Amino acid sequence: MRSRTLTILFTLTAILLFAFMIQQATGVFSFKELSGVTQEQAKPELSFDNLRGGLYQIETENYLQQHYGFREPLTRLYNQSLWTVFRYSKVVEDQRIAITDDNWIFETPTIEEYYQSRSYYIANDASEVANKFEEEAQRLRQIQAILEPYGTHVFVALLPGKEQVCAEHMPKNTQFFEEKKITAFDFYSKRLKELGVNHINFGEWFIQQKGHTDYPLFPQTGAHWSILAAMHSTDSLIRYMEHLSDSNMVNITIGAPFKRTMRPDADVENLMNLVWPLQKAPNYLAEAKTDHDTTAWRPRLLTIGDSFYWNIAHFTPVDDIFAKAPYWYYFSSVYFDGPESKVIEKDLLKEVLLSDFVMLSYSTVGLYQMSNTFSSRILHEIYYDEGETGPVDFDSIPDKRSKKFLRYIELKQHNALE
Amino acid sequence: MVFSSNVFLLYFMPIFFLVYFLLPKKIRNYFLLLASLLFYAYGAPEFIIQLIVSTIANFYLVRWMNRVEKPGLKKLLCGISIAISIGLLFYFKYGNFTMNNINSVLGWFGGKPLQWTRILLPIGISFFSFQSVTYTLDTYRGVNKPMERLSDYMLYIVMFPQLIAGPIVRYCDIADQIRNRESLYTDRLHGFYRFVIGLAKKVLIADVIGFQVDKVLGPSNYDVLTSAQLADIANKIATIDSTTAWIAIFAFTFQIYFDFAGYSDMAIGLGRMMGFKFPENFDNPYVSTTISEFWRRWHQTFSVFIKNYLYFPLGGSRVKTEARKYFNLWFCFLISGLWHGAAWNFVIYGALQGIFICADKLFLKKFNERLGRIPSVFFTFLIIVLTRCFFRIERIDLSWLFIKRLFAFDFAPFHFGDNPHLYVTMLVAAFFSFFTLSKFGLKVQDKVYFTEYNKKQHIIAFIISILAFVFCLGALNASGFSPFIYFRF
Repeated sequence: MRSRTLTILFTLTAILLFAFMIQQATGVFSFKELSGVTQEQAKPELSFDNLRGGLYQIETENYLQQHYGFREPLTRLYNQSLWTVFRYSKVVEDQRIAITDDNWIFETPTIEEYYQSRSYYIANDASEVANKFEEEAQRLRQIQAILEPYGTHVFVALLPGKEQVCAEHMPKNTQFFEEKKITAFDFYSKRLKELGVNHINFGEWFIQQKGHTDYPLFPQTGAHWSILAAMHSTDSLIRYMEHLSDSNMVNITIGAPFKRTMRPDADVENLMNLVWPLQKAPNYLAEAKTDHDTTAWRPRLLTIGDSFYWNIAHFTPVDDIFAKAPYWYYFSSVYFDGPESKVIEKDLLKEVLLSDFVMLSYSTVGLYQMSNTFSSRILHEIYYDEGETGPVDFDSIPDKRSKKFLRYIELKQHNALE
Repeated sequence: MVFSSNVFLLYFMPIFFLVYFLLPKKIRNYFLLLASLLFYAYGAPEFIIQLIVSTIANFYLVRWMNRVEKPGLKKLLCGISIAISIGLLFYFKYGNFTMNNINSVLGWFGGKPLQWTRILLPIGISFFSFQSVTYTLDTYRGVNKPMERLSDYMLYIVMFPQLIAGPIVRYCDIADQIRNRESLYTDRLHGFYRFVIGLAKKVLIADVIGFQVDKVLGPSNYDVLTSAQLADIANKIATIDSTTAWIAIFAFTFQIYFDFAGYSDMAIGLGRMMGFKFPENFDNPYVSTTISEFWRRWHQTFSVFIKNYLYFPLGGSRVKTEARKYFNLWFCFLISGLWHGAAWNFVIYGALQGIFICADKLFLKKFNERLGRIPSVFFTFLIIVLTRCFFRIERIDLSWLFIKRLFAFDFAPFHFGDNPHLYVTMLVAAFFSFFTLSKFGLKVQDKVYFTEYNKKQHIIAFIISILAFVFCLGALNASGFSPFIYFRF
């Protein structure tokens, strides 16, 4: 049988088979990019050795997997079909998240935190975890006492967790601890208060505000606080810094919220790369701007903390508020301070002394990943010269200072520290 | 290169068919040969020379064998030709295994291990070696005359659709098609539909199930694992609950079928697009009422090969004693097991299949007949599932441990919601595996696979195939790349 229909069908098949190749080469149709970080496969280098050893073949397959024509819509189509039919998403396995029946997304550590099934909860104020946070608070008390006279204010910003604010949406868990234990977050907050360590606890404010704001404090399908919540918290941060330094900083004005979902408000949902949005309720955005007060002080802020800071960095006028505002993601990567670098490459003592404020900001979940690297390292650099070691006494503040600290202080007093 | 790779689907296949159909018929075979060599060289560049040289040598040896009159010399040349094919297979596939065992035995007696550099296994060697053997033996027996042209013979051996995982095509079945074949539009379209069915079996069923099986039993090839990884798998198996163990082994039973049958569909489909009619390789094996029937339906071209080139030469069933008859049967399955892999677990697998075949002849078949069709299908399926433990778990101690866990009756509660993707896929796999138990199912299968379509049916099949192809491509790349299980064999 050779009919026109068959000829047409075969021709269409051939066109389809070539369509992917043509789209890859020309990119004639444009699609919304897929979210998520992948290890980018460079275009493979064709050489005899690569081909013979099989490396070229592996790299080509990986490269095509990331660059074949129509990749974006086909991946979304596949993911959507799995989600629609099975409520299955690879992200759930890969990223340790849970999606409730009404499509609320929570990171697994958040759930564990809520149900106190992490190994970090504190029983009777006497555990290894309690000791860790007690020591951290004690160290910060010393750091604060030593650095404040030289104009560097170190403070802790305790950020809320999604489990605190959206508890009613939490996935049900049968392993609920009937006898509630003290979370490290609460313990740490309590000890900071008792020891007089500078800190601002946003958790309390968020719980008070719940249900009273015209925007969600936490987005339904994101892991972090909402952009608007971060904006309003920035305003509180400025007021807190003014209070600590007895100064006048710029004011930020946050405009009326309008419906718009920006990437961070659906950060986990974005990773699912679906065709249709998971969240039906709107997210909000607002314009945040500073007044033009030329007399206002624009201090230098060094932020060390978890990924909650990104919403402040990206959606508030940080550059207008601060003279400089580098951000250290935990104690690993450095952002907004020249080319991206590593914390380990930095002169910690100098960076701290150069700053007017050092903000240690952690959410309930991120708090556990906080190592004592900052406080113990900075104290060591304050007390000891290179190569020296010694214990840190928490009962009193030693008089001993390192040569490096004294040198930097002298430079700072002459405005020559840079 | 494998059929479910991006390189093949997005580049090799479209370019190959475009050029192939644009070329005059006279030179299409040369182009197909060239493309097939390229196909193999891309996947196994180190072995392409060996493949070409052995093929050329075999071609001239068989021609020489065909010309000589003296039976003794003819037999000798036939023997040399087979020795080349089987010798290469033995060296590459069983060299490491043999040396490991020799060294183990030496170790027991306090001897020093022999030095040996591990050999890599050329992909598809088990398949093209067998095709080469069928050519030699069929020519020797006078079933067919040797090929006139080297290029035709090489094409028979290296033709890319069936080069690396079959079907094992007998020379006499395809000789005419190599010289003269028609590729009508309806064949091209039917071939494409069949290819897409195979791709869907592989990507949407086998890979989905395989991903979960690997989580329980580790990767399918234990050779590549470190001792720490193996210890981890052993630990997992030792502590597995019976529910998970049963799900895993049922899942693997479906995975291997859809993986291999999918590959065969793709090979048959690609062949048909060019006008070749390759033999079928699977005929609903899981609806078999006996193990003997299962082996007539599973990997049919391999079973035919074993029957014609091993079972019959051993004497088949025309032997003096019953014991010898059963030994012949059992031995053929033992060799079949070893063909699947150079490891003791495959030997056990083959031996078990042989025992069940003999049991079939002795009493099991009668027992199954008394059970009735449906119960005997499920009883046979259960035997297949259980023997698969030795196929999947490449260490006998771990296979045994796993079987113990199956029968530990340590069942954990089953929750469908824990992994609906896997369970639904398994249900789909089960549905298609047993679909042809009904007459309606057989009718549908016949319609889809073996009937010429009218225009309307072509349009429907075309739309479904295109959507399925696109969906498979998305699935393949969204969920990662997975090679075919049977490539290792």
